[in-house]
Amino acid sequence: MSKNRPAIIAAAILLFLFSMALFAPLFSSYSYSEIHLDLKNAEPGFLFWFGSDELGRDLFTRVWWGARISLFVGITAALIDMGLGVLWGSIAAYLGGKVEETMMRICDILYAIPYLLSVILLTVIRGPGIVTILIAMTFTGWINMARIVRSQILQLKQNDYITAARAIGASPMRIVFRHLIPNAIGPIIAGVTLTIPTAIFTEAFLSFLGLGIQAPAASWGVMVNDGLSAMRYYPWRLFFPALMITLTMFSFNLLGNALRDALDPRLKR
Amino acid sequence: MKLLEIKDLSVQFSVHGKILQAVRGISFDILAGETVGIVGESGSGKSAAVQAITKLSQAEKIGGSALFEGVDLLKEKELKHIRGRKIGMIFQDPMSSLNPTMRIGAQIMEGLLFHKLHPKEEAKRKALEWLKIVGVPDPIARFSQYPHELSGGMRQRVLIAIALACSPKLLIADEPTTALDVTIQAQILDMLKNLQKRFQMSLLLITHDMGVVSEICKKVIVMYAGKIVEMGSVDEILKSPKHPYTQMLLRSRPNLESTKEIPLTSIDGSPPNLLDPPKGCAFKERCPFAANICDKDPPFIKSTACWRVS
Amino acid sequence: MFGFLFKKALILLISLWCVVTGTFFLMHAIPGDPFIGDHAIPEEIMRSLSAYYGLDQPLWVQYTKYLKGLLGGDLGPSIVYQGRTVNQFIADGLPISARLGFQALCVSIPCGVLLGTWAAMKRARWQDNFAMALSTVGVSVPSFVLSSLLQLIFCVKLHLLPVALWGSFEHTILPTIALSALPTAFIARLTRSNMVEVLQQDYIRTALAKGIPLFKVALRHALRNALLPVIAYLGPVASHILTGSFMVEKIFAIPGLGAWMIHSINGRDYPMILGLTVFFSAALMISLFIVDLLYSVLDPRIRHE
Repeated sequence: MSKNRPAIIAAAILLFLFSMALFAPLFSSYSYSEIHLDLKNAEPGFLFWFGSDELGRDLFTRVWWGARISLFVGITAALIDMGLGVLWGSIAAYLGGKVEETMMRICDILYAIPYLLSVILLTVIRGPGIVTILIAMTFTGWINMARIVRSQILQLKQNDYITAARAIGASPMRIVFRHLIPNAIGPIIAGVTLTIPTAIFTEAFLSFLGLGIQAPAASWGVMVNDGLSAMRYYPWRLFFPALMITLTMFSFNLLGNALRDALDPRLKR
Repeated sequence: MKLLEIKDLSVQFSVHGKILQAVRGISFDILAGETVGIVGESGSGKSAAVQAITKLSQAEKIGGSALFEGVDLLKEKELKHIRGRKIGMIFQDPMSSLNPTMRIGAQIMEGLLFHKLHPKEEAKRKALEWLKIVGVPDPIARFSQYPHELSGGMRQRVLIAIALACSPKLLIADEPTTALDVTIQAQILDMLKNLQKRFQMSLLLITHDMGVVSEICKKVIVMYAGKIVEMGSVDEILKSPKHPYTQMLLRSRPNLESTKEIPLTSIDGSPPNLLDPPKGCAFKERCPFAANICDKDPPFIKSTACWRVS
Repeated sequence: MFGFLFKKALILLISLWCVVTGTFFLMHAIPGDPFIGDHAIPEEIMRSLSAYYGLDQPLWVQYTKYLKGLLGGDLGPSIVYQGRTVNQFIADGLPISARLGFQALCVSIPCGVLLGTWAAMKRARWQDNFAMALSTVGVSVPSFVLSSLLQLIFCVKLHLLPVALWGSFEHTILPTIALSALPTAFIARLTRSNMVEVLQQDYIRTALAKGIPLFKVALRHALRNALLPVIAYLGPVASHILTGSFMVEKIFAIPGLGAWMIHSINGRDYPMILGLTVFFSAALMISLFIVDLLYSVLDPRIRHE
């Protein structure tokens, strides 16, 4: 049972983060862009729980605003990846033959393109913004999921209940959506949970390069970038967003690993 | 001279937090040069017992004693001097029992070199010799090949060569032919018989097939649900089995020589769940002669564990 | 084996071509004139730009020119640092980044493999859990966070190591640690799960039955089989190190290629972004190919296909 402990801790942390992201900005007495030039760079204390940045903005509010953005971007990107990947992988696996080979070759070719490079490139071209980031991240991100789904379905295809479904005339679409995908759901869920940290990291990375969300909006990456330059004298400006990113990625990773182990179809009793 | 003395061996596995009693107290001896077979269906505990003896088991707890040449294998810290050198083992699945990235010759030589029996050149010569003895054609070519280049039967021969390389006193063969074709089975069994005679070693053969035992072994032990139900010489048991389970086991073999149409007999029911073993005789649910007294553990009298015999 | 390698090489070449073509057309999709942008460009530089890129000519002519240039090894000029070419920047930055990356590899591979093997041998006990928790942390801490943290602790507070720039061996210590954290963690996880699986295999039992003790079996039999997938993973490791270097170099102010990439992004030096992207992609694909080559040599099953 101790195997489940990390997963439970991770889930608890994530629950906490989500609730804070949802509610904290609502109840805070500051807005994320409210400037107090006379109170800039204040240490964490009674007025500003996480301190303030160089424009006197409350870091506590900004961190939880950033949580909304980062979590939203991370989860949306992961879900898009899942959608595209599941479609591509299951169709390829179901159709088999030359079609499957071609589809997977396309995956191989796209896979060799360095992920972060393509992300950077697309963002540079299109200009910053949430939509750009989402497009850039999901452009090649779905390939991993497609591969996972494909290999799962290849195994499931052998099962007798698939042959039976075919024998009674079920259409391919129905077989794919009703029989194959639901049975492959384990690794898919695990895969999505593990894609989220990568997505969050990528967003932070882009913001770090100045390509991501733009001021005054605050994603964690933007805040880390801000905080870096002030690290020597005002370390809290770096500490809190960095802590949040790490915690979130860590929890999703823990949860994803636990899910992957628990839902591993090879361990079916 | 007693080579192996097993006394009251018990093996327990931990399954999802529950205890599975795979072997519930068995005792038997093997003399030098003797061939003994352990027969039983899946789940009878025969493999578990044998793997526990050489501590190659994933068991949670092993009780009792296993004296090999006077040394208790279960209490010894290091079995590396005994495994391979004094006791050789072959297991059920030849397809997966060889390291896929290591050449055949090297795998045979490994034991020889580890036990420091021969210098490298000698060891190579010995390995080639063994390949010849176990009947692998073209041993020089095969020596440098990888496992995936050999067929199943060939691989099992190699595994036998590996087990016998250091000339052990006891060979334990756990279902060595179960995973092979019937024709190959016969060849391998023949080879085992000849090797045993030639090298005068003891053989402990585990199988679910009474026919195999009658081919090779002098003594047979019948196991059911983790206990020994009958034990004796092969001739005795085949001629007049005393335990109901043994009787039904022998009867359930299809008779290929009969000209009449006889329906196949099988034993009704299935073996008991060893997570919660029954009190008394484990066979009573399926036994046509079961009586109230069978709720008590039958004593082991006249080499049989059955109230009817005593 | 050669069939296998040939197919892989082909795929990589096609990928490279996709990157080149894609980047080229993306550049031209930027509104406004990417090759001028908001930079003030003197007459002669304009002329060399035009000559190299064929700026007044139809698109497909420009494309062919560009391809020809690439095949000849010329990656184009920079607009921000006028008068210098991308090749020159590569010549300056590559040795530095290569050294950093190489050091990171030398740290992450042995550390990762050892950590993973240790965890596998102590499976399900506290050492295993500890090692895996450590590696999850390694995977979750972004390298820019780690770099800053290291700087804060070792330079600002403890004054043990230089905080930035490049020069002596001490300058390379912290960046190497920052860069190797992620790959070490990944390699440790992968090694562990492979080792655990391999140690369950039947042939391990055969080896133990010969009398050989567990740790020797682990080294001689298990490791070889468990490491094959790890070698296959080295491709993505190269990728991680490459992209990790962007951040580490920026934070530690190391004048490597990663830092130049970031500079050109921030300065909207499109031709340089284009050139560096092509270079990085090519370098990565070469490493992927080398990894495939290694893998096919080491796995006798592929060798014999």
